[in-house]
Amino acid sequence: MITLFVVIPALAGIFSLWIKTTVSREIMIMTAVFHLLLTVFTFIYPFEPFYNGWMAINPSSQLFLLTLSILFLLVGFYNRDYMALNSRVSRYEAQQNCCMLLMFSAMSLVILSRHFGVIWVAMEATTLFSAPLIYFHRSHTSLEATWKYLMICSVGIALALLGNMLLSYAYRASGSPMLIDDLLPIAASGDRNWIKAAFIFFIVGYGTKMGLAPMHSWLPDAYSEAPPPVSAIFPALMNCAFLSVLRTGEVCQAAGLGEFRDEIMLFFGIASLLFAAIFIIGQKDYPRMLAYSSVEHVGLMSLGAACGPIGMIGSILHMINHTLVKGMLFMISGNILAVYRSRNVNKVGGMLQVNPPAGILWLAGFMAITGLPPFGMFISKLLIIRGMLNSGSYVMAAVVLALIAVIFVGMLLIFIPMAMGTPPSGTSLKPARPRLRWLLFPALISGLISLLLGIYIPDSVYNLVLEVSEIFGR
Amino acid sequence: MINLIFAAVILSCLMLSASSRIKTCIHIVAFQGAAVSLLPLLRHHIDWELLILALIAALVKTLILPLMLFRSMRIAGVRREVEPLISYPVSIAISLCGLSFALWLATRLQLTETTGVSHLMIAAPFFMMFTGLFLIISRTKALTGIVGYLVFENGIYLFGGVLGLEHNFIVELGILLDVLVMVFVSGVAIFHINRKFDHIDTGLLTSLSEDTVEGER
Repeated sequence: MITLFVVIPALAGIFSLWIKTTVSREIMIMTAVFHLLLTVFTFIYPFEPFYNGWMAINPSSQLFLLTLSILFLLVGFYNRDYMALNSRVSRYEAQQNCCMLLMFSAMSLVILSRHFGVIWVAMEATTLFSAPLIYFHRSHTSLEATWKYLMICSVGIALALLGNMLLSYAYRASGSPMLIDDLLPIAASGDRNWIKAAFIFFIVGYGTKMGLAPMHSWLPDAYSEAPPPVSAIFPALMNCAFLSVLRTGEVCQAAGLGEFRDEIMLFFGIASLLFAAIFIIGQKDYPRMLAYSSVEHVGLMSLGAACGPIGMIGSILHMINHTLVKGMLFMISGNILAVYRSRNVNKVGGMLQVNPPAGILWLAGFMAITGLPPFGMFISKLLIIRGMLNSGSYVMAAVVLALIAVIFVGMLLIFIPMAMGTPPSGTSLKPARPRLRWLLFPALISGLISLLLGIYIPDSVYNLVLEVSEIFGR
Repeated sequence: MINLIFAAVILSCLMLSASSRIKTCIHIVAFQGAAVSLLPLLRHHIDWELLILALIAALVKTLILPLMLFRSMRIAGVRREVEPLISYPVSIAISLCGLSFALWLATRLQLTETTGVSHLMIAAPFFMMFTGLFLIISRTKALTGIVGYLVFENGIYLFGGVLGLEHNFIVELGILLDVLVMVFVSGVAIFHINRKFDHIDTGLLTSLSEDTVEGER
């Protein structure tokens, strides 16, 4: 049963390669619906682990699967309408749908797998399947972004492979088990220095994929060059990498190296916030701005995960909120791109006049992404800061707050002129077609869920988040 | 005997950083692939799984991957690395520094007692990884980048072999498959780079940066 999560999207992907009509768009939605139903089903009926526990359902995989399938479903609807803007099915579209579904399958495998080797293989597979997606526009710049993405992420993930080897060497006395469930009970018996080395390679390797600074250099290019439906999926990809980092951290913690793990994660978290703050100020390209904002948020997740139990709850909540809100913003950015035909901030203005629904949503997205109440990100950021204060790192909390403030101002100066202001003169604006309104619908849903998480978190979701944070942050 | 193979691997890495002909580079990668994948067979006890795995790895690393690289080379029409970012004499000097670092690291890591291998055998994979990364950074042709990636990956593979880690059949096959797909995808990318830019010089792929925004390029 559990293999269906991986097999169905993969089959659907291969199948949609042969269908060169609009049906392939519907296949994507159907796959996402099936995946979501299957995920919900795991809450009612516990699935048997597969192949000696190599793939198993536990609260962490349930939560990450739920986030993934909700985002993928929304993007599926969005993708259908976005692609329908083109009058005919381009020949690249079949490839794109295929690669997206294969990536979906690989991401599910990362989430469900309990074996470090399989996690690595699946992570590398997500890179390989997503690389062609960035090249969708077939432009010079998108090719450049694809190449950078492919090289940087492949080398980065190869470092995580080295981490795998170091980890298995650290537990050579116990027969080098690589299954997380076998590792955790004997974690304390491992060679501590080698576990430390392994964790560093893991966080550098998977951190590259996650977008942690200073390994984030592929990210702005890839985000800005990929078509909006693909960019909207990328936050889920970062979640997979984050989950992999958390799992290695879990082993570290069980081996009594919790403090070491926290120090490393704090370092990368602060570095990410710093890089994001520097590059968001005065950014002229709004997809790039959103990409740097992702660097900021993975930094916050990493910080939260390093700051005790409360920080971990904040970090997990932040992961959910970031996925939803960033997906929403990229979906709206596709709409802006369709109307203004430019990625330049200065050439986009007066969205509230030109395309009011998009303008309102864009402003709402700004509030959500910067963590203004009543959106969910406010609570998660608050919890992360609380976690820091509780663990006694007051200076760190002050630095983080200052950086968040800088990023807030930087984003304010970009979002407000885009939404308000006056439409730029001399640019030929495509009138907002009715179809474009439909494009906003998935973004609206995404934003509403994030809003709901800010006002009222259902008990079942909250308990799940609590369970997950207990797993990773004992 | 084993030490001899490792010395050959180290020398081949030095040749890689000195060679300007891409064809030679691919031949060297094929040799390293053979050495790296067949090395586990020199262990004391060999079971069927290990044998099959080594043979598959050898097939992929010495035959399929180099053939794919040759194909990309033909398509892109490149023969040699004309303008490396770092000249060949300097490359060799840097490589030697890398080698001495690898040897120093090998003596520091105290792996010889637990695994029963010589310092040279521990230094070799580190030096391979170093060479791979160095090739990626210092050469401009996209194809050499992939060669560098493969050398790096072979180095990691060799490291696992030297430490005598238990191989898991399925995982190892998955890793091989990933590397294969990686070379395939990047081969396609090279094809497109060649068609779009009339060159595969990644040093000139610099249009994406903070200063340029779409429409102003």
